[in-house]
Amino acid sequence: MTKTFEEKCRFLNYELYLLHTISKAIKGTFNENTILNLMLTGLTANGALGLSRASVFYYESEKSLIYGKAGIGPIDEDEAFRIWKDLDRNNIPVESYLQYAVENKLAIQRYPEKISDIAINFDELPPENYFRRVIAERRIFHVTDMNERNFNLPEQLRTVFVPSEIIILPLLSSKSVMGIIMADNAFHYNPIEESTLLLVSLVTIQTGIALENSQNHAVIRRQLEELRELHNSMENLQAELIKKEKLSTIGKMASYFIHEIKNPLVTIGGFAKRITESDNIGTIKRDAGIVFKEIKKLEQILGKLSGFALLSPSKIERVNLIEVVGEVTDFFELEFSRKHLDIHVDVPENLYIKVEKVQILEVLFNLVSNSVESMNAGSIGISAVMEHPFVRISVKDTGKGIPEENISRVTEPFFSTKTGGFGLGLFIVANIIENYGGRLEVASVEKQGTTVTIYLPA
Amino acid sequence: MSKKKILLVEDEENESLLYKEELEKEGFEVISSSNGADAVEKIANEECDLVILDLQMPQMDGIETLGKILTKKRDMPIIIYTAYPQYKNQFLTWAADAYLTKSSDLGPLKRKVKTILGEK
Repeated sequence: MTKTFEEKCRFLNYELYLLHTISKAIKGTFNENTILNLMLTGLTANGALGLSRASVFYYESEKSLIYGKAGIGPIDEDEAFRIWKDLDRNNIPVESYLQYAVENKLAIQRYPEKISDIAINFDELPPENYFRRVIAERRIFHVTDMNERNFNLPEQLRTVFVPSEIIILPLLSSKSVMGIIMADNAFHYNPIEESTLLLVSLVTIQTGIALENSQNHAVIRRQLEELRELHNSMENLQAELIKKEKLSTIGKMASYFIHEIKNPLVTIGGFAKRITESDNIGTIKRDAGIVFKEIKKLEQILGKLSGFALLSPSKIERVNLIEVVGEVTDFFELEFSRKHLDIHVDVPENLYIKVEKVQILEVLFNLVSNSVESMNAGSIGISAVMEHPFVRISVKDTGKGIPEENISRVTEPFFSTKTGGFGLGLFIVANIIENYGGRLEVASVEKQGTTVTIYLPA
Repeated sequence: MSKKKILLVEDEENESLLYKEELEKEGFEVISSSNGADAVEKIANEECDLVILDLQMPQMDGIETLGKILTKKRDMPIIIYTAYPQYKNQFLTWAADAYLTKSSDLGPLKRKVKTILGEK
C-alpha cells in the first residue's frame, strides 16, 4: 500500500510529536522505574509506534550477567485483544496514555513477570546470538523471520517468544552498554517500518541519558545524604564539646570557690576553737579580730559568686554607649590621674546597643581595668563604630601587652598572670558577649600594648 | 633534746598564724614561708625536719615547690595540706609523705606531724 505525500507528512509530524512527548516525559523524572515504564509504554502505546510488546534487560559486564528488568505487553492473543480493546474504548491520547500507564501500573502483566525472571550468562551465548551481538556491536537488529526453528535469542526467552518481527537494540549510556531493549509486533503483526526503527532508537537514546542522569542523581543524593549526616554528627559533637567545656568550666569554678571559701572557714574554725579554750583576754581579742576579718573575706567571695549569677541577660534595653563609657571612665578617674594616663574617647553620640546595662558596664569595667593595670604611664583609647548588625567597640592601651603564647588563653577561666588575680575578668567578658551572639578579639604586642575589640548587637 | 623544726608554707597570713601557734603549742619550732620560692630558699639554708605545704599558692604552685624541695633534700618529709581534695590523685603528690585536706579541726594534722617526726 502506498501512502500519499500528505499522508506521509501527517505521519512524520505525528512521529515527531510522539518522540517529543516521550522524551519530555522521560526527562521529567529521576526515578529509574518510572523512566523505564515511560519508555516501554511509549514504545507499545496503541497508535503510537505500533509495537505490541517491549522489554528491557540490564547488562552487568563485570558479572557477565544479563537479566530482565521490565516489560510491557500481552503474553498471548487473548490478553492482547482484551488490553487493546480496553485502550481503544477509552481512546486515550499518547500524552495521557503515558500518565495512565504509570498510574494504572499497566506494566504489571504476565509478560513482564516472565521477563523479570530471566537471567542470562553472557559468556555462554554463542557468537551469532543477537543478545551477544547487540552488546558487542552496539547496533540495532531488525529480525523479520524468526520462528521456533531458527530461534537465535537466549534460550531463556522462549517462555515469552512468539514468531513475529523483532527489534533488538542496545541501551547505551555515555560510557557503556547498560542493557538491551527488545520489542516485537506479536499478535497484530503490523510490519515494523524503517521510520519506527529510527524513532525507537531515538527514544532508547533518550532513555539511556535519562537513566544515566538518574543514576548520577542517586549518587549525588546519597552523597548529599552522607554530607548531611556528617554535618549532623559534627553538630552533635560540637554541642557535646560545648557542653563538656561548660561542665569543666563549672567544675573549675566550683573547685575554685570551694578553695576560696574553705581557707577562711578553716581559719575561722581554728581561731574560734582557740577562743573557747583560752582564758587570756588579750589573745581572745586578737583571735576574734582575725575571725572577723576572715568573715569579711568570705562575704567578698560570696559577692563575686553572685556576680556570676549576672552572666545571663535578663533585662535587655537600648543602651546609649557614650553614657556607659562615661560611667566607667568616671569610675577610674582617680586611677587615671594617679598613674598619669591619657584617656581618649571616640564614641559617637546616640550609638545604641541592645544589652543589659549592668552587663555592658561589667564588660567595659573589666576591659578598662585590665588596661589600667597593664601600665604606669601611657594612654587608653575607647572607640566605637556601627558595623551592622553590630556595634564594634575597641579598648586600646599602650601597656605591657600579652605574650603571643598567652593571647589565646586570656578568656580561659582562672588564667591570670597577675599576682592575686582571679583570672576571671576576660572570661566573664567573653561569656557575656557570647550570650549576645557577639564576639571578642584580642590583638596584642608585648611591651607595646593591647587592643580588645568586641562586637555587640546594635 | 632540741625541738624539731617545721617549715610551714602557707600564703594565707591568718591561716599561717593559726598553724604556727598551734604547732608551737605542741612543742615544735615553726618557721613560716608565704610562697614557694621563699620556701625553697629557706630549705637550702636551714635545717628542717618537716615541711607542711599548701597547694595553690601565688607565684610558685605548691606542686612545683614540692618538686624543687625534693630535688634539694631528697629525704625531706613533706605533708601536703590543702583545701583541694582532688590533687590527691595527681601522681606528683604521691611523693609527699602525707596528704591532708584542710579542716578547722587541727587534730589530724598534729597527729600526722607527730607520727612522721617519731613522737607519741
